[in-house]
Amino acid sequence: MARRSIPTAIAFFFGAMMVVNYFVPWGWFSDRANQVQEWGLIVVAFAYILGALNVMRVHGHKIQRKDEDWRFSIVTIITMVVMLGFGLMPEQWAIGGMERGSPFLWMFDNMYVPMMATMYSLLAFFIASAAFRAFKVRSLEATLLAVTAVIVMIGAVPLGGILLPGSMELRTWIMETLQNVGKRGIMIGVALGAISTSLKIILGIERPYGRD
Amino acid sequence: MPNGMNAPETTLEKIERMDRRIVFLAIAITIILPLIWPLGLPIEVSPQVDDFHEAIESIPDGSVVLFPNDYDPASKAELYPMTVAILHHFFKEDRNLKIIGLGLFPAGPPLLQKAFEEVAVEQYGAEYGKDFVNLGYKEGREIVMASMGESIPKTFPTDFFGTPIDSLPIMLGIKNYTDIAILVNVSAGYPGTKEWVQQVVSVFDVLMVSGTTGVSAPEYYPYYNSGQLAGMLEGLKGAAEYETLIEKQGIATSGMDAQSLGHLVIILFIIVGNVLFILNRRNKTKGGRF
Repeated sequence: MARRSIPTAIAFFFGAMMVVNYFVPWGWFSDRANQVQEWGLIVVAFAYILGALNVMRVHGHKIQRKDEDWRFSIVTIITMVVMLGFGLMPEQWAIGGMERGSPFLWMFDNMYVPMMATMYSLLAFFIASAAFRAFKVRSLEATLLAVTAVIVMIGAVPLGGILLPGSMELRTWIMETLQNVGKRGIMIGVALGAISTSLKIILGIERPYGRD
Repeated sequence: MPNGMNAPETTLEKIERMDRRIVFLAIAITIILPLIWPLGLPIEVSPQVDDFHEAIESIPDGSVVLFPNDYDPASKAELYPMTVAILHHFFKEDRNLKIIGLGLFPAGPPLLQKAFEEVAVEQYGAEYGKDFVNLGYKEGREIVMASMGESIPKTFPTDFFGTPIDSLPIMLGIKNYTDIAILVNVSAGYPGTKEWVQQVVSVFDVLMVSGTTGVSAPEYYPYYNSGQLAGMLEGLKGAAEYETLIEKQGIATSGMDAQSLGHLVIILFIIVGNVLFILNRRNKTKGGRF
C-alpha cells in the first residue's frame, strides 16, 4: 500500500505545487517552487552520471560476449573516456581546460565537428534520391503534395524568384496560411494531450514512476 | 508469356530505376561548382527577417542580450553562419550591447565560443567578461530556462571556462529575465525556440526572436504569427538575407548559390521521376515496349 501511495503523494504534491506556482507566483510559495527547480537540475546532473555508467556497462558486456560489431564498442568506450578525461582536466594543467588550442577543443573542432557535419550533410544526397524515387503523383493527394513541395522548395532560394516570379510570395503564403492552420491544430491537440497526461500523473491515475 | 516469368525491363523502367549514385553525383556537382564559382544571385529579404533585424534595432544601446545557441555541429552548416551574422549586428555599430551566450545542446557552447572569438574579439576588439560572456552548457532543458527566471547566476554559477560568473564585470547587476532586453535564440530543435517561448516569453514577457534550421521553421510560424516571436530567420536562407540586411556578406550568402542549384536539381529529379512514372504506367496499360 505504502509502495503505491507514497510515490503518488510525492508526485501530486510537487506537480500541484508547480501548477499553482504558474498561476500564483507569490513570495514564499514561489521560493519553494524555485527550490524544487534547483533540485530538478541536480537530479538531472546525476542522471548524466548514470547514463555514462550505463553506456560503459552495455558496451562492456558487448565486448565481453564478443557480440556483433563488438569492435565498435571498444571505439565508443575509448573515445568516451578520452573526451571525458580531457574535458575534466583543470585549466591549470598543460593539457587541460577549454581554451583554444587545448586537446579537448582540438579534438572537438577537428574530429567531432567534421564527423557530425558530414552525417548531416549526407541528408542532401538521400533526400534527392528519395525525391526521385518516392515523390510520385499516384493520386490527387500525392499530386497536391508534390506541387506544394516544389513551390516551397523553389520559393526558398534566390533562384526561385528568377525562374518562377512570385514563387517567394506564394511560398510565404503557403507557410503562413496553409501550413500554419495544420500546425496550430496539431499543437493545440498535443497541448491538450500533454495537459491530460500531466493531470493523470499528478492524480496518480497513470504512474510512470512506479511498478504495479 | 508463360506464368512465373517476368517481362524484360523496358528502357524507361531502367531509367526510372537508375543507380542512385548518379543522383548523388548530380547533387555533388551542383553543390560544389557554385561554391568554387559563385553566381551572385540576388537575395530578397523576407518580412520575418526584416522583423528580426528591427527587434534588435529597437532595444536601447547598452542593453543586455540573452543569446542561447541551442545547436550542435550537425546543424553547423545552417546555423553557424546565422550566429556569425547576428554577432556582426550586435557589435558593428558600437552600441555597447552586453551579450550573454549559452547553449542547451552539450556541443553548442564551443561553437558559440568560436564565433565570439572570430567575430567579437578579432573583428571588433570586444572583451570577454566585459562585452560578452559564454555561460556554457547546463543540462536540465526547460528546468534551466525556468530556473533562470529566478536567478541567472544561481543557474550558471560558472562560465564555459569554469570561471565564477560573479567575478565577470558583465554579470554585475544581472539577476534574471527582468534585466534582459531581448532573447535571441539560434535553435536546431529540442530544447530550443519552442521551449524558450513556452517557459520564458509566456511567463516573463521577454521580447524574443529566433533563428532556426530550415526543416524546423514550420514549427515556429504559429509563434511568429501570434507575435510571441518578434522575428524569425529560417535556415541558411534566413542567414543570407540577414547578411544582406546588415551589409556584411559572408558564408551564408556564398552558400545560397549552392543551395539554389541543389533545390533546382532535386526539383528536376522530382519532375523527371514523375514523367518516367507516367510514361511507364501508360506503357503498361497499352502494352508498349519502349
